[in-house]
Amino acid sequence: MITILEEYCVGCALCVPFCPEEAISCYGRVDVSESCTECLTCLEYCPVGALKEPEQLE
Amino acid sequence: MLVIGSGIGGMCAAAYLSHKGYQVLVTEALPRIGGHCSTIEYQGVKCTTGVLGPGLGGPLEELFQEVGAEYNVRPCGTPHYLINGKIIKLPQKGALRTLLSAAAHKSDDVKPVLKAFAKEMSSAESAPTMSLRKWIIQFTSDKGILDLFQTMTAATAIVDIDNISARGFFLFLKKLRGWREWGVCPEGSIALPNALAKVIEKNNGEIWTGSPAMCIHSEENIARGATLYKDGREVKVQATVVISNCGPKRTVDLAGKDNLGGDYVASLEKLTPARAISIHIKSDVPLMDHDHLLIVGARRIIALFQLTTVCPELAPPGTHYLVAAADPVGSLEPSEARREIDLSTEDLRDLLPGFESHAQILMTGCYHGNWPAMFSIAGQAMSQKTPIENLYAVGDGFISDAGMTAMVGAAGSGIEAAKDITMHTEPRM
Repeated sequence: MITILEEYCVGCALCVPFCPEEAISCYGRVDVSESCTECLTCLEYCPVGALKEPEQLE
Repeated sequence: MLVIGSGIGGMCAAAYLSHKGYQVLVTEALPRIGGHCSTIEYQGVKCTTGVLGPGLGGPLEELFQEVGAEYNVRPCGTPHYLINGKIIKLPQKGALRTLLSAAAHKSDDVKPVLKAFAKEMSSAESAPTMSLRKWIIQFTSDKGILDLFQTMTAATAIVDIDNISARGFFLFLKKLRGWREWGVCPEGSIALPNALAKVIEKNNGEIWTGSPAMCIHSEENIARGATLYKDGREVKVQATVVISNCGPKRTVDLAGKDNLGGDYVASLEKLTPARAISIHIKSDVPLMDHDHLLIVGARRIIALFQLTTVCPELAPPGTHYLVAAADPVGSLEPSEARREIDLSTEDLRDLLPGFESHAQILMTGCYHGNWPAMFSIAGQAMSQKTPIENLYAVGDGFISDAGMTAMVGAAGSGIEAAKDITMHTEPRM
C-alpha cells in the first residue's frame, strides 16, 4: 500500500481523482484503503511529495 | 529563459517572453500544468484545482490579447449576498449601503461606516496600516457589519479582517472595483495555461511536465541555469535568466539559503499565507438560483459557486457542479482541519435545501502548508527580483503591487518580471 508522509500531506485532495481503484479518500488528510494496487499514479500528482512507495520509507 | 513551475504567473512570464522572441523552457514537476489554475476531471466533473474563474478585462486579459492567446471566459451574473436569510442583489449604485443596511443589527451604525468608507475610497492618500477590524471598530462594533466585511475580504482576497490592513483592503477595492466582473472557463481553468502553452510552443518554446527542478545554479551571484530531473535522469540546463514559480520556500531550497542571503530568506519566512478549504459538490438538481452567492454570518462558508450555471459543460448533462469556499482563520493541522470541514458541511446543509437529498461531495481540499491558497495574503508587497541577479521569483507570494491579490496578482507578477527582463536582456534565437 502507498505510504503517506503525514508531515508533508496537507489534505489538498488533488491525488484523489487520479486513483484508478478509488482507494484514496481525503478528510483533512489523505487515507489509502486496502484496495490500493500500488500503481503509483497518485505519487506523480501529489503537489507536495507526501506519497511514497512503501520500500522508500527506509 | 528557464521558468520553473507552470502556475499562471510562470506561464504569463513564459508566454510574454516567447512572444518577444526569447527562447523559453518551462519545467513543471507535476504531470499537469497550471498549478492552482488548472482542472482535474473527477466523476465526469471538470473540478478546479483552485481558481474558479478569471477577471474580465484587466492585466490578464490584456496579456492574452497581446500574445495572441485565446481568452475563453464566459461572464458570470451579478453577485448576490445571503444576509440574515435574505438574498440581496447588488445594485449598480449604492451597493455598500444596501449591504450594510441588510447586515447591520443596529441601523444607526450604517451611516458612520458609509461615510468613513466613502472618505477612504475618494482619498488620494493611503488608508491606515491598522487591521481592517480595528479600522471598522472605530465606527461600529456591530457584529452584522463585521461579518459582512469578513465575507467581503474572504471572498475577494482569501483573508480575514484581522489579517488584512485597512490600507491593503482599500487599495484592493480601488484597483479591482470589488468583485463585480469575472467569468468561468467552459473547459475549466486549465484553458488559460493551455492557451498560453500554445503561444509558447508556437514560438518554439518548450514545456516539460513531470520534470521537477533539483537545483538552481548561480555563479558569482548571477543565475546560470538549473538541474532538472527528466525521464529518470538529471539534466543540466543553462539559462541567461531563471524565473521561479514554485513558491518562496521551494525557491529558497533550490537556489540555496546562503546564495540568497539571510535577510531575503527571513523576509520570505515572514509572509502570511492564505489558508482555505474548497468543497467540490456534484448534484442532480441545481442547488441554488444564482451562479454565485456570498454568505454573511455562516459558521465557515463564505461563498458558494454553482459553476455549471455559467458553464454547463463542466459537468455531465443533468448534473451540476458547485464549489463551496471556506476561509477558516485558524490552523489546518489534522484535528483542526476535520473540525473546519465539519463546520463547513453543517453550513452547506443549512444553506442549500437540496444538499442532503441531491448532493454528493466529490472532494474536500485543504489549502495550507506547502500548498496554500496563496503564499502571501494581499498587502505584503514583494519584489520579483531576488538577491541573485537574473533570478526572478513570481506567483502569489511575489506580488509587488499591494493592491493586487489571488490569480490576477500572480499573473501580474509574471508579466511584471517578464517586462523587466526585456529591458536588460536581448532575445537570443
